[in-house]
Amino acid sequence: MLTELGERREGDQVDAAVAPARSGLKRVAGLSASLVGTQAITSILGLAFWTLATRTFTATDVGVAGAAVAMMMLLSSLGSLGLGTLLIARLPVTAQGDRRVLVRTSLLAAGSTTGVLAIAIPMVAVHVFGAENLRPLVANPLTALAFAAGTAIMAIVMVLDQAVLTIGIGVLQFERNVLASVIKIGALAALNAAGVNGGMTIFVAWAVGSLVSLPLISLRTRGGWHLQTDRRLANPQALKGLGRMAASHHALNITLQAALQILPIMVTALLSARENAFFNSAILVTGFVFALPYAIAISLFASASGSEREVLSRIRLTLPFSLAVSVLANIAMFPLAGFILSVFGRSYANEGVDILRALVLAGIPFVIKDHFIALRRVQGRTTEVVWLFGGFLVLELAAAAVGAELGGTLGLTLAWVGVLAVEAIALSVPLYRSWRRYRHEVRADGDALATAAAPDALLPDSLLPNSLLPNSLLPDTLLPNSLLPNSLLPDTLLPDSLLPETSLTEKLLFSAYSDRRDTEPEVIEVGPAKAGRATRRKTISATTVLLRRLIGPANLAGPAMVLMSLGVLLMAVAANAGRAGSIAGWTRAAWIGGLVLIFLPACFRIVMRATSHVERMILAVAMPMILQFSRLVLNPTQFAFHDELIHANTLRQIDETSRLFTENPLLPVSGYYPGLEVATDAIHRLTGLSAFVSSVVTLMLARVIISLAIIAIVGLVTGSRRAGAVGAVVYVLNPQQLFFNSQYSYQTLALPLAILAVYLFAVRRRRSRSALVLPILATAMVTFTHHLTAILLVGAFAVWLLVDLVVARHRPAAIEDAGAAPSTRAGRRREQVRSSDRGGLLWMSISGAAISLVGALNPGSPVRTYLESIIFSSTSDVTSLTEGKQTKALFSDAAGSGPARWEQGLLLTAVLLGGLAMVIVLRFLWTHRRSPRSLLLIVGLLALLYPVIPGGHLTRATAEVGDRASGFVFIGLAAVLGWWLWRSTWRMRSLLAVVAAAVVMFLGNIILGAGPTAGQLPGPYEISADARSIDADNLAAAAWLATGVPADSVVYGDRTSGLLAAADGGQYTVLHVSTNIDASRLLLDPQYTDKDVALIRRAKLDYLIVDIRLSTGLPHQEYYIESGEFGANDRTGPVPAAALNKFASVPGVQRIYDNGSLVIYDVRGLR
Amino acid sequence: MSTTTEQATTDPGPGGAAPSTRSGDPGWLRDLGWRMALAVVAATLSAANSPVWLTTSFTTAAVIAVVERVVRHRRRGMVDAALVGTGMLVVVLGLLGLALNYLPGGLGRLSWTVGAVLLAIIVLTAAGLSDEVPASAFRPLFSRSSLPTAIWGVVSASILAVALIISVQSFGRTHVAPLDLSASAVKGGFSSVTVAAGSDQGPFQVDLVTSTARITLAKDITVSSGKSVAVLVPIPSGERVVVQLVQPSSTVVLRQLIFDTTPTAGTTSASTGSSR
Repeated sequence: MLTELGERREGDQVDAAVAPARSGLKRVAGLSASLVGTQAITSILGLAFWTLATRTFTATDVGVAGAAVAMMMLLSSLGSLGLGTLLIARLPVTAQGDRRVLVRTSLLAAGSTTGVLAIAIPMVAVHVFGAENLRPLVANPLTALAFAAGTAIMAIVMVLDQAVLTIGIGVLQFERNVLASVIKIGALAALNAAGVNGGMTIFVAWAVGSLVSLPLISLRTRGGWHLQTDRRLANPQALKGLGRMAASHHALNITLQAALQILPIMVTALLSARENAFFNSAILVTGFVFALPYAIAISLFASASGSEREVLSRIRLTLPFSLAVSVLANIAMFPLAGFILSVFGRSYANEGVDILRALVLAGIPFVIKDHFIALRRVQGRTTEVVWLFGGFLVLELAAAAVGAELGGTLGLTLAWVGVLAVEAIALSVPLYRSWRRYRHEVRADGDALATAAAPDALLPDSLLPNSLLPNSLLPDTLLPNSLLPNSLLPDTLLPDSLLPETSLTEKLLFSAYSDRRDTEPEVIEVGPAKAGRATRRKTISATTVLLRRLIGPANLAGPAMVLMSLGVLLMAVAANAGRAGSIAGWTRAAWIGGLVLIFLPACFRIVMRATSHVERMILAVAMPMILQFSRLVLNPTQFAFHDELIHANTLRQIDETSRLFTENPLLPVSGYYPGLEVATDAIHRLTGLSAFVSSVVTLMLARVIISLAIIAIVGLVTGSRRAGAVGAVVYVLNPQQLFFNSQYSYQTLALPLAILAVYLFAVRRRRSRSALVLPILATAMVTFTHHLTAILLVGAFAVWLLVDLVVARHRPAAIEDAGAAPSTRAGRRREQVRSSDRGGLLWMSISGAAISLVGALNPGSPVRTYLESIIFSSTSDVTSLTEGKQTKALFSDAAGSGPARWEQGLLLTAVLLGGLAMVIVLRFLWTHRRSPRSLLLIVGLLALLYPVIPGGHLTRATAEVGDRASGFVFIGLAAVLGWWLWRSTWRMRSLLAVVAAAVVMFLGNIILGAGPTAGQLPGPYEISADARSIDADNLAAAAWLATGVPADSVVYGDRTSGLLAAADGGQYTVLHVSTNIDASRLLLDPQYTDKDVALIRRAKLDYLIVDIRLSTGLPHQEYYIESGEFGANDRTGPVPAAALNKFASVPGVQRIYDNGSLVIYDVRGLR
Repeated sequence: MSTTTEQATTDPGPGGAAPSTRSGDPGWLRDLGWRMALAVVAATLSAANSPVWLTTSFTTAAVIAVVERVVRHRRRGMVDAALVGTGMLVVVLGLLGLALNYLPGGLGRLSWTVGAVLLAIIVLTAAGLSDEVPASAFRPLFSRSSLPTAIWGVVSASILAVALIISVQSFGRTHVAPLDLSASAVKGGFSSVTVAAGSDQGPFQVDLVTSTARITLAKDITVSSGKSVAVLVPIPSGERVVVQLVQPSSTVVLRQLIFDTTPTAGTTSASTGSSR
């Protein structure tokens, strides 16, 4: 105990007042009564303050003030850096003469840190994330400074209140709080009387109360002035080395307090300040409701004297009692809610009644939660609680955000309470288990209840379960520790983490008295140098306990999947905001945050060496799957991208005709490679699911295949499936992974099947006649699905054969020695690949080529001309580039929009990291030069093609080639980087750097492949911008075409309207790619001429679809309709409105549809 | 089917799957029969156009039952079984569709169900030819230690479902069909002009504007989602007329259709047949 340290005891009056510990429920009841009483006084004063505010200011002002106070409490909690807790622990062991300078230094550190936070965070929230509702906090420099000053004062007050606990004047904190409350009421009244208004006025009154109360502390502690030996204002050295000590407890504090501090800010930011006024008022009232159960929970812990058994023995009564109180409060609050809120005003009673009723429900889960915390504290398992409650906090806030999106403030409240209820259910399990275990122990040991007197409980205020108190009702400090019985304060057992590292003797003394879980024999036995390691082992042990008890044995796959799903949820919220027209900063931040939330947990766990194999495999498949799912939040019911609509049209045609190889006017070649659509049709017909849902299932299957195939192939190349899982993470860095390779497009399925074919060939059963059946079948399906992938697959087999021949010629004799059978599994696997049958490769090459040829010779297939046109345009563009003619602007699309500066930086960093990876690729090839293997060389060479991906973006035509190549090139990179990451030994710090680089590359490559974040999100209509061009107007026009005109009528429209007319409207859209007719002048030439009539006759056009919005801007995808269109070469501005309206005055033309944005003309009269 | 391979005799598989075990003769029904029966039931439900939830459930169960049994013979671990099972399922379905294309029924529901169930019976029979019944590659998934992960998985799936639901709702809210005015083909000198919208709108009136007059054809038109209003409009021959949707006592044209049957413009659009 501390008394044994001697130095703290001098002049410490509190310890003298330690009463003999009472036992049992009487002690709980006594403490509860004391807490409730003091809580009531400060709460009543707080209520009076807010009542005055609501009665004299507008609801919006009160809402702003509520948000400001909530943010102040949050930032001051963060900015106090746990120094208050630290002082409680540190002051008693600090020389009397140095105590004041330590306190002053702490106050300065807390105040300055908080001040910086209070300036920066509101600025970022408003100016970067677009939280306009928080703008009053930084409306002008004066308010920004006032907010920063008020928040800094609050941080100082918080730290100071905790510091005074150690000097023995227990009532001082209470006195200061009462004084502050009274002064702020007076200040508010005075400011109001002076005619000062606005939400920040309420805040300023609060800050004035805190500021004016500070001298009281100085006055009451003046007796110690003469004792100080160090009279400097501050001594930074005093805090040196203490930072980590309080981190754990500070983290717990923050975790527990954050929800109630963040929720008002969320209401203000997501909804409005006015809504927060009602929400804040409801929270104020709940403080009274929660007070008794809260006090019981604290008292339970405090009176248990650090004994787990005592807590468990009392839970039997305190838990049902607290629950009963909460239930009764709920029952009472239901009819009384309106009446109580009427204290604040009529509008509060009307608007806040349901919110209050919902909020009060939180009392029930809080009872469970705080009993759980009390139990874990006496068990010394605070680290567990931090991790667990940190996760809960994320869940609560995510649910609240979704709730706000769906149902406003009430939705937010219900969602939050709902998550709390789920948490309570989850926590009740370990609570019950502990109690059951206690009962068994009691039965086994009749003396169990007669527990030996344990050291007094640890009770710095940071450790108290204060999660359920609304901060705005609390006195300035979060917990009125001064009002706790003196016996609970300085005479406490300090956690060893709070002791100075240099004082090993002290540490051992404390350890000897601390909970058995925290005292490991090796801590005592090792010297100071090893103490750190021992402590670290203990931390790991606590985490492991958490995992085993709550998550499962050393398997974090489940929680990681939940986090990744929350990432999707966050992306859904961002997409919803985008659809509603908000592409504000916070929307983009939420979108990126969602992506990071999906990628980071899986990446981190997979690359960690300690992760179990099962978890690694689960995450390696789950992460790409969940990323695929994220596509659905953008377009949950509708094909939206150019290529998707092309294949949707083929799917529709198969559905309608039950036949394959029908002409698809949107891209004729796609109709001859319908493997994707056939697989979808199978699902659609066999299950009855809609075509769209069936397509989603098909894409999910494709994603499963490619994830597993990458793991398997990289596993084959490197000899380690773990490296395979790392390779799967690397493959996700592919720029096309999020958008292009998740689209309903033939390459999306063909690529996984191609890797499958290679895998099936590589692991085939040797010397079996049927060995090649599966790889040939897979190759056939690839050929049936996508022309280019099939060609590349056959080419890969041919190259493999060639490389194998070359390698065999240069392979050292020792390697060829068949008698040297490898002894390890990896060695056997390498040997299996090495001895691949050249005959098999020859068979695969020949059969693949033959199948591809059959596919190309399919009557009517335009594959040859199609591929020729791609080669021609790419060559032409590359030639232009080499001649110094830039054909594509960097960081800008055709409409002039492009990524923001930070996005450009991210993109370039990602490309740079990709370039650095080339060094690793070269090292990979160099390392294996002495024992080259064909497959290994092929993946190495494939990885070396990486520069094609960013380099392709230099020209228009090669940009698409580069994009499409990324799916293949990253197979090589996955193998090489998987090998590198897995074979290297990483320290945690290096590993974190690798993970951070992976996150940057992931985000940067998404921008490279899919453009700026704002363009990835849904939003208002944009011209020729894929998904952003599809809105209610052109969907309505396509839907009308499906019913208003005969199917397969010949139509013409812009890029988007034409696609939708075919895919959704069931019409035949004229395009140059399918008819060799360039009819673009019909829409783009302002003059009506004979050429128009000739085109209509030549194309046998029935209907013309005109989107009159085309005249409002340039197209984002280079053209309005298709490549080579009328006026494309010298276009400097949008298409003239006259061009879009010219058919309105042409005799014989009927205008048969008009929805304000799109009109449809019947031009059959001109034929 | 061959049961001995270089890999199988020496290596339980890179995925670390349980080695194959000889469980003796488990009985045809217990091993294969129920799988075939499940496939037949699923196909029957599918062919009978049963409710989607029913056909989806049974089809999924049948596919898993058949594929799981067939991939047991690979004996290369769980990753290989999952990869080959999923990949070859897609391959086989695709190639089956190609084959169906050349049969009289094409790719209809009946032909798909018959083809799929026949294929299931064939592969199960082939798998049953071996005396050995290897252990399931997925057996480790059903151990007690997987339960926590499974529970987390359910939570994860629930969150994904919520994300999807709110996205669908949001998409529905923001993709409301606009107010539109459309016309059917002119028949017998009349065209049916329809006013429609995806939300409650109105009141409107429909005016017919000729070169000499403006005639109100309909008043107090209100429309909503699923409720459109059709107005029969007389279209005079050899004349250009305009049908306008306006708000009462307003001249601002909201939507406008044009009927031009002037002789110089050629024939009117009496026929609606496609010329392709």
